[in-house]
Amino acid sequence: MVKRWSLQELVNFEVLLKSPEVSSEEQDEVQAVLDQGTYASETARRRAGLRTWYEQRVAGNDLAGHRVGIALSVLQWISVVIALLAGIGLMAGLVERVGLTEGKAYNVWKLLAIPIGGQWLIMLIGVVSWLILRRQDRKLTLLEEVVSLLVKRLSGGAGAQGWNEVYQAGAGYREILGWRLARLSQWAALSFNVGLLVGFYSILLFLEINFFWATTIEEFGLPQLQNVTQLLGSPWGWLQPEWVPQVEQMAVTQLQIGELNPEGFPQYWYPFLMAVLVFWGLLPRGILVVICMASERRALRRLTFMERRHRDLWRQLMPRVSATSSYDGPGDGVVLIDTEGAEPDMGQMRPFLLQQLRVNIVEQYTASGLSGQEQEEALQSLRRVGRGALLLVESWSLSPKKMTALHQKVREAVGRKTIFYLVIGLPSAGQTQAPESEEFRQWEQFVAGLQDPECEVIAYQP
Amino acid sequence: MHSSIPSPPTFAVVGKVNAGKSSVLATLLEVDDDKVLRISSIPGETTDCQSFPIAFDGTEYLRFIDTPGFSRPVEAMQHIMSLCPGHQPSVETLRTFVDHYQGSGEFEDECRLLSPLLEGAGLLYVIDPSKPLRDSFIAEMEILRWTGQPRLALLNSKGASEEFMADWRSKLGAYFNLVRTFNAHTARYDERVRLIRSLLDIDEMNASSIQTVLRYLEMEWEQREEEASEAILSFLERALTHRQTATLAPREMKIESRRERKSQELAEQYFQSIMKMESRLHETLLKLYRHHLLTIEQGTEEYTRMDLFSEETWQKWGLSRTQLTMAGGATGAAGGLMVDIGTGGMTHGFGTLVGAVGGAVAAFFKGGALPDLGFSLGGGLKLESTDGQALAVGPPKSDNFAWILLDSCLNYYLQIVSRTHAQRDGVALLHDGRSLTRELTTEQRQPLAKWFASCVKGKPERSIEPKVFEAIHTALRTLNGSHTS
Repeated sequence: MVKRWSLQELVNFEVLLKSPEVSSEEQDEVQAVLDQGTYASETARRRAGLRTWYEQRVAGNDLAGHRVGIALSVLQWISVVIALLAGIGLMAGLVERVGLTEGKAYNVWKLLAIPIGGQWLIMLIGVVSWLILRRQDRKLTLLEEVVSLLVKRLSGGAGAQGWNEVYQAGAGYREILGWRLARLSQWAALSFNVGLLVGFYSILLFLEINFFWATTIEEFGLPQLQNVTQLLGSPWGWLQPEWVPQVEQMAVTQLQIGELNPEGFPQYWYPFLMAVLVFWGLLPRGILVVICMASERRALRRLTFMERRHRDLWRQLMPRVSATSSYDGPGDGVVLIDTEGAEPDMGQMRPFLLQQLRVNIVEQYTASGLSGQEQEEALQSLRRVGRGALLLVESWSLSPKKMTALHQKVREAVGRKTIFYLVIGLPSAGQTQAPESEEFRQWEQFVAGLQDPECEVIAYQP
Repeated sequence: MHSSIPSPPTFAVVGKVNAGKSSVLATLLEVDDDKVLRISSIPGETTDCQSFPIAFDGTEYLRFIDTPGFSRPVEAMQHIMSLCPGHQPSVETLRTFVDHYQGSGEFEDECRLLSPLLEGAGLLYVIDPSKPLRDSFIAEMEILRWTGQPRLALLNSKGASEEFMADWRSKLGAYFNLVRTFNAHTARYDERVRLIRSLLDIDEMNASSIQTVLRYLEMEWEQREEEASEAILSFLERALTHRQTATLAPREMKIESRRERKSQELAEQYFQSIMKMESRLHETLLKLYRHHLLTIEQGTEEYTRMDLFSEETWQKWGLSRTQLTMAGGATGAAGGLMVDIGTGGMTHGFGTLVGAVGGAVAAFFKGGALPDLGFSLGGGLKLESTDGQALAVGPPKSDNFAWILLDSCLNYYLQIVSRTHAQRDGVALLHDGRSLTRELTTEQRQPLAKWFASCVKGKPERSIEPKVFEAIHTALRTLNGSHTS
């Protein structure tokens, strides 16, 4: 079972990718893990392999992820505390002093519109934006960018570097970041709603508070208020009907000539408003936090690790398969020594050499005109060559002494390989000819006199 | 009784002189070096047996042996038969024949080619089916049958007359376990694999080694496809984000003629740079597919002026005007759709309609336009100036530029993978004029178009890059015929 990635681990992973040289031990370990498992797809296999590499590398190298984790936690706690205080503050701020008696009271319309209606409006805008933008390879929203900047600042050093890598990466990573930052903001919103509840309850507990509603606009009259309360109270109205104010109860709490009903009737409203804050404020935020967490996990599960740096690492981790590409050449190579500079047409002679002598010329030198360096090169070639040397001799015009010296030099270089004496005749019409029989006989005599058993004399036959 | 079966499984490639034995091996093993494996039209080019192991990670799994061709098969058959009058010759008879004639100068080639078979090697008998079936071939097949080894006949069709193919096929069935066709001058990867897989049918004893070779070959090929995709992707990114820059003195910026001259120089330098990048890509691809003799005809200065910027090139290699229009329309419609969604459907699809029409019209009139090199004509090249001093020439704005670069990559890639290692003429490949980008699917084209646009802007979109890699990879696999959707 492959362990699930976390955002902190991704940060570490990206930092580790900066030095991706893979050791053979790491390769072996990854291979061993992959060999043991069965994977539904190549992506799943890649995910498991990279996870194994990460786990081997991360020991003692998790600072970046750790710092990012702390930064995110700090940011979350700061936002939670601020949102909590904001919620409490808002509820305190909504308390009004009404009439000549300056009795403390909540305007029901305001209470429903500002903390609940305002939240839902923001939430609606967010959801619509998400629906529109989710199919696009979008960047982060402005708010997310600001939060991201704060995380980077708070992480510092390795953490900032790691965060940067994740932040600049492709769509999969951006989705994870988006959900993490959304989760962060939903925790803050949840905390804000807790603040609203705490504030509301505290005011109920410590202040003599009343509720009223008033209108000068027909659209915000009693029937509308009744509709709104029925709608908002529907989740619990069937279970606790007394927590939804009735029309006559609403009527008695209407502000009359700027004054509150002297009897107040706060019990008509506070259970309903408390329930509204829980059901329409706290609960949706809680659900959104869960959705964000699940979506982040799903995005982490779906990572394909197909970006270039991931592909590079994967290639390093996978054993490189390469068939042998270097073979030994054929062993029929000879070095041709053109003793007199006859320079025959080798294209014409090649079939004869291949079919009769079973040799192939790999290098060619003219003995008479060799400089010191060329001589050395020729000797080197003779030492390397597979089959031996081919001395090209024309008619019978060389001094035996000189030929014997050349023979000895070649013999020293080729070792025990064959020395062929290929006797050619004088050219006619640009074509190399067969030697005269007398000339050939003289060469046979000369070679016999060398007393070299690894020596052959052949007459060229066009 | 000799029982020295060579390990690993060995197959000797035998046949008449000049039948194409070495060509088959060169293609099969991807050897294009004459110093290693000689191929020519001269009969008798192979003078002795030569071993070619197939090894991975230092372990040899399979071995092929190139052999000299039969020189005197009829006489050899008669001599062999004379060694066992009244009986059918056996392996022992062949061994006696080889022992008798080896080193004598008689039947030298026959002795050499029979030696590995007598040591247990299976055989691949290479035939040129453009030649008529004569007695000499019957003699060769008889001798090979007497070895008792697993036998595969290979019709090395050189594209010449195949009027004798039916004769060959009817006769070969009697002498060989299996008959296959294999053109050493055109066989691509899949045909090479098919040939090696055929060995499984004639040599079950060594199935595991052969299967290992097949698995490794497949892995190696996939590796190459992936590395080639990576190389093409990197080239496209480098080429499309490339800017040729120069610093101009403020007074030079004010003088039109100097500014124009400078911009022309920069434009030339720009295309030279693109060519160098392309050349490096070709080197990588050639190396990847083990081509040492092959070169790719790199354009000179003419490349930029005559090829890339000719109307013909633009129409032939890039996307067609219809395709560009459709792509533009789709992009515009996507933008318009966002507007419709944003208004909660109040626009009744008007945004989508306007976007689609606008995008299509723009692409129709501008998309296929020739990029303009001239400084004064504007629009074609991106020229930026900072305080009148820095001049940068970037990629042509026309959408088709990126597609032409990609098409060039795909075209050369296809030619490289289609070229066998038996072809030793050392020619330089030229773009064959065939457009391959037009054969891409819409799913492949969409991320490519988006990514190209981001590259041209100088900011390659990293989030699309994996999809672009996948699109190129799929395109290469399709060209190789290895794509299974």
